[in-house]
Amino acid sequence: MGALIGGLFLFGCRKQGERNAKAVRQTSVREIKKEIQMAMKNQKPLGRLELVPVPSRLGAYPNESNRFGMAIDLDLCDGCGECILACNLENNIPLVNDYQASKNNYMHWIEMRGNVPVFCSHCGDAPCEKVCPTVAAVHSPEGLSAMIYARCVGTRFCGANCPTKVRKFNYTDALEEGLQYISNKDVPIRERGVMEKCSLCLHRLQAARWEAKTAGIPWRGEGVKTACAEACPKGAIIFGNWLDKESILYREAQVRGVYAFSSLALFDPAVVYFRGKR
Amino acid sequence: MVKILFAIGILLLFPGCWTLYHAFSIGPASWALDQTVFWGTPIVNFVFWIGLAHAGTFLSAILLLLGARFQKRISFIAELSTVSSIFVAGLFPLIHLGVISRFYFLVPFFNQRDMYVNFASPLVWDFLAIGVYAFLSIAYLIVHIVSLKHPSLSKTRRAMAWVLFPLVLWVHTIVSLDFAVSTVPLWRGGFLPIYFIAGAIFSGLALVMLLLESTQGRGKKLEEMLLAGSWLLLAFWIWEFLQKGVWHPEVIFFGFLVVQSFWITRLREKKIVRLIVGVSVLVAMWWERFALIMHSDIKWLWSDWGWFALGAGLFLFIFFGLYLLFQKIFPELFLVAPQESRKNTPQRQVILIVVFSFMLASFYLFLNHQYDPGVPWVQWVPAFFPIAALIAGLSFFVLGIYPLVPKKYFFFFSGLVVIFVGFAAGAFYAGGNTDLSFQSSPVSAEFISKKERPTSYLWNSRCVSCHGSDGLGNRKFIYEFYPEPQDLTLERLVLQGEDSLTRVVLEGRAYMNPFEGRLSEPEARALIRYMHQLAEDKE
Amino acid sequence: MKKGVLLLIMLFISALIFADYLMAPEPPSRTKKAGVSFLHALHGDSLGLSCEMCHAGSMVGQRAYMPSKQDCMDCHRLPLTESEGIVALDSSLKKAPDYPWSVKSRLPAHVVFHHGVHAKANVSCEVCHSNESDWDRGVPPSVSMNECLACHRGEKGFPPAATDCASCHR
Repeated sequence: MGALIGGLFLFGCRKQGERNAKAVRQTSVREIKKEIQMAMKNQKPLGRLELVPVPSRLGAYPNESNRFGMAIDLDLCDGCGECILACNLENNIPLVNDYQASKNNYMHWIEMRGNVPVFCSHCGDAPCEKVCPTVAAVHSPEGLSAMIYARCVGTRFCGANCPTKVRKFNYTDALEEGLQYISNKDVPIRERGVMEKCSLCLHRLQAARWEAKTAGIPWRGEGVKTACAEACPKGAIIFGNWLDKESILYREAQVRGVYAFSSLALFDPAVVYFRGKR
Repeated sequence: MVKILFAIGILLLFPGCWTLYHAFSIGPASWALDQTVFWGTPIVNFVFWIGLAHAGTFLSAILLLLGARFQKRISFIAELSTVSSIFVAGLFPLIHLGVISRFYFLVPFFNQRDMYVNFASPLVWDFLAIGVYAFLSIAYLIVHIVSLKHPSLSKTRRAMAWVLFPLVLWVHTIVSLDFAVSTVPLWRGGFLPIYFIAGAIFSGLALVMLLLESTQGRGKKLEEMLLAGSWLLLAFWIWEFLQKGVWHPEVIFFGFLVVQSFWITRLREKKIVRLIVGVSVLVAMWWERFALIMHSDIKWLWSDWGWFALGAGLFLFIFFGLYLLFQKIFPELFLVAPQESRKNTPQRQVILIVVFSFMLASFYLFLNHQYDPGVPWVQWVPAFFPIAALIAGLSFFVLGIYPLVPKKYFFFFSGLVVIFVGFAAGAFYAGGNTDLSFQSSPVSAEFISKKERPTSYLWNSRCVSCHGSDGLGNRKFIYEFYPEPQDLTLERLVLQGEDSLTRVVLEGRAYMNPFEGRLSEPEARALIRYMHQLAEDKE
Repeated sequence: MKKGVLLLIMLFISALIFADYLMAPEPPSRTKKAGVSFLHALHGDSLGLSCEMCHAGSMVGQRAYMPSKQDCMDCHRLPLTESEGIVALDSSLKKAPDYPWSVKSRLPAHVVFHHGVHAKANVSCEVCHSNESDWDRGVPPSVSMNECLACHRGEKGFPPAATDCASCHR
């Protein structure tokens, strides 16, 4: 009852006011780099990895020909952190204020844990999606665990339910506090109070799919690379289509050891780690 | 005593409301949370206060049905405590939300966006169940008050108690499912629902005992129940320790050991001891929820303390405010226990209402299913009973109260309720406006693009107005308005050559327009080749 | 009793409709006025011109762009009719800035719409943007999510398309 009465008067409460683009202080790439350095100094330990089967077709979409995913080659990766910078710039990831930084609460979608990049695994049977009351966390037929920011009310159930805790909650209004660096117009700015996480560069996938569709050719993920995969100087991050037998990702997975976090192993992750030979 | 507590409530509301304002303006960053602990003290307080509410219903409704005699003395206090604490409890999930203005996304109700809630999420069940519980608790209290003047209404009261009895268990089971369905190892466990219910009733008994002490006097039965409850909870704590390996000495001290002082009659006779035990149980149960939900050594901010002030202040304010108010208006409420009439609601009527409410609830689920056919039936079940209970409870309420109050008042008040509910339904249906302040930059003319565009498209958008889609000229336009363009025959194109034609496209000639700046050179060349192709197709 | 119940139902419905009306989104027109009067009715089918002649990108691109002044001048370099308005038009065109029109997208940043994909699926412009006379009267196109979804489910005569969130939202 309290919720109902209170809620009726709360329509529009905590609403983000009309933002004046001119008044927004933009941060700089230098500050972003500094923050990444700070984040990399306080790394959490990497969880336990275990061997998992190669990701395959999702049971819910038997006719779908794409399931996008990634693999990180731990034999090549040296934890340089270039992927974090690329991701931050690609996805307009805000800085955090001093208070959040002191608690080691960064918004980076990719974080280093024990010098290994860790981010959303886009589980095929994602625990975060099941508990989202408003369907803001949904699975796309192409295997992405997508986040619809406009639907998110910020119950943070998904974050609590994610075994790897890679979801990031916007505790601050980055635009208002001048912590936002808008480097990519294609990615919306997230407001305070919504969850966000790795989108597997959804905007790039969408753009490529449109082009293929407009031209009328079937598309299986050609011409797309996520920002982190593009930026990795060692080529350790491989983006691809798990269902495309021709893709490097699939062919590599046949000969390498495919690992994922033990806590995620039951949830069919689409982002995995390669290590050693099979 | 009552007035002092009321005054304390008002005093506590000052820091409480300040915390509330702070939370509304700053958001979840105002209390202790980080990127691994997402559920903080508001959720702890929510579970704590909703538990307190349940005990009130337990004491008044369930014991009424069981025919416990001491229930008569405490039922009014218990019901008042339920209504007050459910109000407090309902506030905390709202505070918890990241974007409060979108709270209506959680309502399982139709909306113009054609979007629906995720019925697999216990939070949706939560919202529904607690809403229904709040409405029925208020109706139950009203019935109690009206039944003072009209003893025949006690049959309605008993009927509503039958609705509330399973509803209480249902609601708190759902609250426990918020945790039990998750993947967090500490939150899992099949025993969670019964554990939560036991904990809720245990803490609520302590609260009602305290309230009774501060208003009317001792409740000896409550003390005995508290003692029994402490052993029940100890069993659960041992169970939890064996399963998960966690135990909290503070909880066992405050929640179990302190309560054992009731064994000693000399201590138990002292009011101060009873008060200490009551408060200690509340502390223990709060601590227990805190240890379960946050399980982290995250540093508290002042807002986390502010919730105590808000919760306690609001509770004391509502409870004792209503208490004082009722003392003025219905002094008989405090003098005699309500006269019970032994008559029951006619069986036919009960059956009719039960069937009617189950049918309507099924219909609601059917509509939902039509709306969102992808959701398996089993996930609608948690919503079924709260809806049926709402309909049944309201039917009993309306049928019972309608003959007793003047028609004027009945229609006036039900008119107000109906307008409120209708307004809420309309608002939920429409939803808020989408925030457009984050527009992409304005779209004006297309500049020369970095990527090459498909040539056929360039032809269609740049050349067709005069040259026609087939290169023969757009008759409609050029006959009426414009000089006829050159025929783009194969012979002519070959004669002129690609280089010079590209220059013509870019720089213009006679009536031909210059396209420099709107087409890149490779694009212009591609267009010439496209013209070749068109001319070849013609021949 | 019966009258009372009827009254209550009426009250409920009117409160519902009133609230719905109060909350209904009403986006203001966001087209920048350019000082050049333009009538779609005079430039469209009657001349055999399609939308993409001026709105570049509407058939293959993500966005349909507004024409630049140069696009207008392609044809308006010559006096095109003998009607009296043409003098006023010529002078206003002369004064107009290089990019006379700009429109702010009504789509929120988290929604994406690709014109080309829809054109490829034979969805004509009028399906969402209503008709020429409406544009000339300044009625803004109003597209709401349930209309998008109805069409994507195949309820509006087109074959069903993707209805998962991530194909239109980001």
